[in-house]
Amino acid sequence: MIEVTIDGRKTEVAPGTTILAAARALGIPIPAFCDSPMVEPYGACRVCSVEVDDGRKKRIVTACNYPLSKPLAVLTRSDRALGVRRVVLEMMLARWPNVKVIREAARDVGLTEPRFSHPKRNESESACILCGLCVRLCHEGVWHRVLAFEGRGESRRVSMPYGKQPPECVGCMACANVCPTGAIRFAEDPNRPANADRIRRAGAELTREVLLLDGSQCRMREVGTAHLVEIMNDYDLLPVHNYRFGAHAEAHRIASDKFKPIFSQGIDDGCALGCDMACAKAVEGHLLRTGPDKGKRVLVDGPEYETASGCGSNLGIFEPWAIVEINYYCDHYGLDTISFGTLMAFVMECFEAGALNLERTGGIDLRFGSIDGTLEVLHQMARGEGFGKIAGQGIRRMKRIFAERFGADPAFLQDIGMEAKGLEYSEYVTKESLAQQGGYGIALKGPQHDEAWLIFMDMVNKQIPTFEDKAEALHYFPMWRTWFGLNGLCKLLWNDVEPEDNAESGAPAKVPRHVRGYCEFFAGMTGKEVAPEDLIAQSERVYNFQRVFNLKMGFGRRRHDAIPYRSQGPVTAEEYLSREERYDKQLREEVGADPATMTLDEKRAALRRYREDRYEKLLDAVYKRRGWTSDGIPTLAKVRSLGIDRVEGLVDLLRANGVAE
Amino acid sequence: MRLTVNGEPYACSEGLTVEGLIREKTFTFPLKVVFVNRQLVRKDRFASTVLRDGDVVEIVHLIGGG
Ligand code: SF4
Ligand code: SF4
Ligand code: FES
Repeated sequence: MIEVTIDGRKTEVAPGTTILAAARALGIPIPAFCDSPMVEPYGACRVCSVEVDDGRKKRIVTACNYPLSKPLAVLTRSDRALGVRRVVLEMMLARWPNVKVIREAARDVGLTEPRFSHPKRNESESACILCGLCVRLCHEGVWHRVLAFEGRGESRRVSMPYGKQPPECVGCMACANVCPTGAIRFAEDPNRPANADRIRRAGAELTREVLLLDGSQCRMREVGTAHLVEIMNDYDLLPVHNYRFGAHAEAHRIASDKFKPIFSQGIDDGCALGCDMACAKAVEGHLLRTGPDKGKRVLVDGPEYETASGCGSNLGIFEPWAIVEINYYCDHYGLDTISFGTLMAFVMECFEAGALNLERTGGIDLRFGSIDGTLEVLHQMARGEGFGKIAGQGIRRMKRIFAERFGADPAFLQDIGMEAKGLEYSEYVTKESLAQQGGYGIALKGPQHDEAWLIFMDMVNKQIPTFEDKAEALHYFPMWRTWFGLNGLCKLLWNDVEPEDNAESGAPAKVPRHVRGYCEFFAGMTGKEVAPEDLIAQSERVYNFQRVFNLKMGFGRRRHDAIPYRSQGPVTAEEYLSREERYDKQLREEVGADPATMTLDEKRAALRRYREDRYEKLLDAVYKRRGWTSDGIPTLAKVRSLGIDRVEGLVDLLRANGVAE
Repeated sequence: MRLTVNGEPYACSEGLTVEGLIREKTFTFPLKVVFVNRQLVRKDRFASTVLRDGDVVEIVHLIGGG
């Protein structure tokens, strides 16, 4: 820390703090027209001039871009400082006599009228004062290059290319919000929202949070979702070797600091143009080592957390290049990296357990960690050849094929095959989070976490201890998340950046301020006022309708919400032993057994009975909370209260499936 | 001394701060809200807040997943 004195008041600041920031922290005002914490300091307007004294000499500097590096005395209102400020402000006042910020700062130094007239005098109250904030924010913050200065000297002005709004301008309004004079206004929005300003204000608040806070929160702008690799590893949640374990000593080799240098930085988001969070990262110039494009340099969209873990740690692969290569070919072939990663993990475990061997895979070595083998299966899959033709059918069918053709044990395959409703699991270890087991198991389209992600709430924070608490969370969050889908919005801005005062909001996990922002957005777009509960109600109708649709398609009953035991607890002895202390503790404290007197097989069986039973109890609680029958079907009362009973054939379908009055 | 951390007993040495506890538990995820005996502890006080025997600590991670 460095000790500095500002107007006689002593303070300590971290090296690199600007004089302006240090003064503001003390509540000492310094006018500053071209400064914003959202962009790099620029030093253009010079109204922030102050005098500094380092003990040897005194001089005038601009407070906004002067980083403190040694003890110093700062005088914000010395004669010299005010003199400089007066000269600067008089020029401005002469040119822009009616701009409020200028008038106020001028009055502060004793100026009300300039003593000369400026050839470019502009009487407007909202004249552009050329501070450059909009241009810089559009470049540095929004990562667009829409705005620029054009001309020199007195004819300098802010402009857009060819003087009109280009398609690259996403109308984010960041520029208008940062403008100190109100010089930027928006023309009519082609989407014709009921009230565009309300939408923009809600959006601008998110822009502000992302630009100011993301760097110290999730760093989505730098590394995207890849930061989760190290986090999940630290909390024993990173899938390793087909979800057997939650951490690996080599996970650091695929941590976000390994991806950051290969991700292109500071450019538009790869997923939604103009998104400030810009978490969709890309690797440019990856040199392919295998496959039909071998030897070419390519652009790869990703990898995200799910790809890094699913096609990395879950396969025992800890080489970033290999993950990038798998990512590329999955995209190229039109495969989902999550399904591919999870099914390969299943294949590898089968290989190591003897259900597969070299003969059955056509000579491909598929032990965990086999990069060549993984890529070979991927290429075969695309060509519809060899073992790839079997693997490409997904886990559900592979279980049957391995049992029928190779004589593998169906019960073992069922336990370790991480799929439900025919979809492969996404990449989190859920053994210690019952709520998330439900989140995966009950999800309408299979075990993906888009509906509910409750692992930390449940397992780490212990905020939802009872079945009823978990059921409530499995009501609220899936409904809330469904709402994003209904409106074509991304969820990440909801909770991957958090407002400064979220801790004090009373319900921080829901991020209430953001929920209100989405209400604003909805009202601004449609003209219909809504409260947070209304958003949940909107989703509930759709969600229940989808559940009934599942029923119609043969997937909407309790038995379809069953999950493999690998997601609930340790399947193998090795897995049990790897976290023996944890499992023994549960047997002792929750089951009431004495692990000291039990064999390993007995302990495994007892734990399994306990955990499977709890999962059934969870389903009961969730179905009840949702207004469903114990078979997981919406009741007639429920569909009536939601008004979806009017859908032709819906009530008949429920009746045909045993739902009575 | 003994604390309760997120509902579970936790034994630790005297003089442990909130920051020290977070480190011991390898709670590396950045978005966290901490309450000690139901009082909010702001992030800039983690290092200076010393825990006492019997304190009930809640470390709420705000991670909602993609
Ligand atoms: S609205 Fe956004 S993208 Fe368009 S010019 Fe302003 S800052 Fe740039
Ligand atoms: S339009 Fe506003 S923000 Fe942009 S340079 Fe002019 S005064 Fe500054
Ligand atoms: S605010 Fe410092 S030069 Fe403009």
